[in-house]
Amino acid sequence: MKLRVKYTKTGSARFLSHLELMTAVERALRRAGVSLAFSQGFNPHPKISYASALPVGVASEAEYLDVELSQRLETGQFLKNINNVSIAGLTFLDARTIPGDHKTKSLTAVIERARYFASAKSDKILTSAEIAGLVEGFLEQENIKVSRRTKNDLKEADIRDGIFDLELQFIDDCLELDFLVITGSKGNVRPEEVWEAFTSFAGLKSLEKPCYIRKELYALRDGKMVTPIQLLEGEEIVKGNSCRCSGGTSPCGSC
Amino acid sequence: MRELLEKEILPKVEKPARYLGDEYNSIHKNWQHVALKMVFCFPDVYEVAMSHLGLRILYGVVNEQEDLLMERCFAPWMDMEQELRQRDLALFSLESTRPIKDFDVIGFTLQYEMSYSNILNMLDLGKIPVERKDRDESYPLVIAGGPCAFNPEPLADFIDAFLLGDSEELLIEVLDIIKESFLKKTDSEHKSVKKDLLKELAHVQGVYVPDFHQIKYTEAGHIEQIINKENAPPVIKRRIIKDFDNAYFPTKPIIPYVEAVHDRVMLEVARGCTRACRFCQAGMVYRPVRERSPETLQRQAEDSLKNTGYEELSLTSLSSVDYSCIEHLTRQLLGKYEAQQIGISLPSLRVDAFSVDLAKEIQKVRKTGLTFAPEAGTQRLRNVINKGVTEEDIERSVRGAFEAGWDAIKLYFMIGLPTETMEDVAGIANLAYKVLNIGKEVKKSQGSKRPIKITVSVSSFVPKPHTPFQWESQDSLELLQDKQQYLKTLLKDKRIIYNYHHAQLSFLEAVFSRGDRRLGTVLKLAWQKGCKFDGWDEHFKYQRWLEAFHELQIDPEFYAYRRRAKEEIFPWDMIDVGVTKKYLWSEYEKALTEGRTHDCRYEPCSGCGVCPRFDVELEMRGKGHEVKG
Repeated sequence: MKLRVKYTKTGSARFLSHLELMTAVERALRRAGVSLAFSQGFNPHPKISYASALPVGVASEAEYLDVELSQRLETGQFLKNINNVSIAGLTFLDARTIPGDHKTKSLTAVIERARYFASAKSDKILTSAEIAGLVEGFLEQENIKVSRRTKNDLKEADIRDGIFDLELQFIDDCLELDFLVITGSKGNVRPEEVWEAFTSFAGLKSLEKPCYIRKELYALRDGKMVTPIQLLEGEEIVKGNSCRCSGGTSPCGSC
Repeated sequence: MRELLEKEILPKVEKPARYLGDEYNSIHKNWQHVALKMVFCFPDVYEVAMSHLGLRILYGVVNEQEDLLMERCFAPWMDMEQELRQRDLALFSLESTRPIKDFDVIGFTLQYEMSYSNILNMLDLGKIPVERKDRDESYPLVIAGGPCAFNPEPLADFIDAFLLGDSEELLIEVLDIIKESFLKKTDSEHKSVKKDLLKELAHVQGVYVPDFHQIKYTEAGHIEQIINKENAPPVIKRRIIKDFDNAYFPTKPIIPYVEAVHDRVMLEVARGCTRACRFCQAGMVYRPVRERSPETLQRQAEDSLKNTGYEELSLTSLSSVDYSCIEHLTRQLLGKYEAQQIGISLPSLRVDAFSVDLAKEIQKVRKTGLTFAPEAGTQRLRNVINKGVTEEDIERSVRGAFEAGWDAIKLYFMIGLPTETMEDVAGIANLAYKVLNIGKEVKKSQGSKRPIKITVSVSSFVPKPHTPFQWESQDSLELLQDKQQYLKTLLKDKRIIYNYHHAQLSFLEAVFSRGDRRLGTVLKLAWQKGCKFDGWDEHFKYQRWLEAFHELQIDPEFYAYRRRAKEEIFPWDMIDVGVTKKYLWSEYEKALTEGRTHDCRYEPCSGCGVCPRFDVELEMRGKGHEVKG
């Protein structure tokens, strides 16, 4: 049987590289006593596939993986077993059986959108009128140029078409951005690119390194955004809810 | 601290997961609820430190005690050190991110001489004076153990007390004594407390306190006398675990976030080795052989796999194939864990057919190469070092390996061994070609077109304390380099890959391995000049080391190149590892006449002295597969 699993990568776990995360997940699955299915061939590997790699240091409240098991296991039991033995910051939130007849494309193939939250202390605080003007102005630009590091040099890229919406607010002296960008095989906009582009457009300076949280990943079905889990069920959703980093402890654990 | 670390520092450094400290199975105790706090310091980077079995054992055994606590601290990588120094932050422990200065005891493990500069650097980063004379009662007690502690003298200026030998019992005893001393401690009598404590520790078997030993030198710079003070025992006996089967073993090791060099369950099948290779310090200082029972190992395997989720299990010891129940144990483990795709590995193989058969069983996938260590290129020289391997053994083993489907063979050798001639060096190349030709022949008969790869890895011999070669000189740097280049001209085939180490590093290793406490000044100066991570090629600064020797007018060649007289007093003569100096000398003489000494597991006792003198005995669990050289 195959499961689609939603998990978080917050707290300490956000500092793991994708490779380190994959190792940690595999070992947690083994500790949980889950019967993994292995690939055939000379060097058998457990059949686990991931949605998309997060940059090191970026937290996430909604990561996804597909895992194949060699023995049936009730999803509630699966979640209980694995959360008992998981590492700090890696919490398994949801698990659904992928129907046998379901024509599942791989997670990497279906993911097209990502919603991020970013925040940092700002040098100024703006009024709501100023905010509205700035967001409008930012999104009305023809191009938004950022520089990207490739293997050997810096290349310029235009990320305007990859940004679908953006909201901002101030909580005390903290600037908070919430935005939806393209991600996956058709293009990729990194959260720090949006942050840099917006703050420089707005003439704002962050007084500390921003913290980034991925809030959700989406696939598109008939032009509408659905989460990878909803994709299995045929549900639809309107817009990703965006819980904000105010009051209490933030999911990234450092704000 | 934690917040600053996560928010400001970790986003800037390479592999930030090295510094998180909350790995699975890490232990976070409440500081208010323990009587004594110790930090285990490994003077190298996370990936190396987390591979170390000793850390797993001591971390487990100390934290198992309700009123004791152990946390970890490793050498921060260069980028992290810069972040700490820029912000004037003190080096912190991984678990609680507290400065290492806040602990009661700091314990370093001494795995290789070229990590000594990192010890000084870590103390300094921890805002602790590096020399013990500059540390008053307000600082933690700094102790050290591990293989290099068998010659503790080069570190005598920096370390308060050394622990010698098996430490799973010894460390607990030491920590209990320190804990008791706290009860006696009052503000008014600080000074005496530390000294009283050290006096008490000096009477525990296995503890060496350098302050209580004074060294007198002759005009020529040789040691004239070692004088013990404060009633300390003149000779310190190493500690040996007698009941190895029941000794503490950790089955809940910390799972590293960043892939460690050895990232797997490690079971210690045996401790000690009596193959009596004359260059090998471990083979002399961890005697006698003590084996664990297969039942205990089965149980430890099951618990460890359940607690870790590791996909590989390694059977470790100085020579695992020598473990008398190795065949039976590997079969059982393979059968039990095959369905879960858990692999079994052996860190080292003997050069014989039995080893190849065993490797065939456990390595269903012939992906990795097979490694053999003939150590020397000719039979004559192998007899000198007492490496019981014949040309026929080698031929048969590699033929077996090629026939079983391996394409890559790795061969380990040393150059600069006592009595070595250029003919012996050429013997290394001859052997490599012989192996290559066997491979070609086998592959041809199999009709296989897959390329063969022979890796020849050559290190330079370093004479070590407590071995028969402790009297020997090291080859000069120039000669070692000549030999390295000579081999390079001989090994021209594209299918042979030839690796060798910096001879300069081996030279410094030779200086410190048989050094005395006068080298403390050199170590400190070299560190002040920026030496650290010397074992890492890209950070090794040989010129700075030479400058330090030169400025202090200490001749490194005195330590590395000098052949010692039979009666010479060695800097480590106050340490008794069990094997007598008389035995070592007789082995040295035997080496020069190419005489063989047999393994006391299969032949009569060779009289090394450890069993009667330390009231211990050889402990085997089965008959084993004897290999006669």
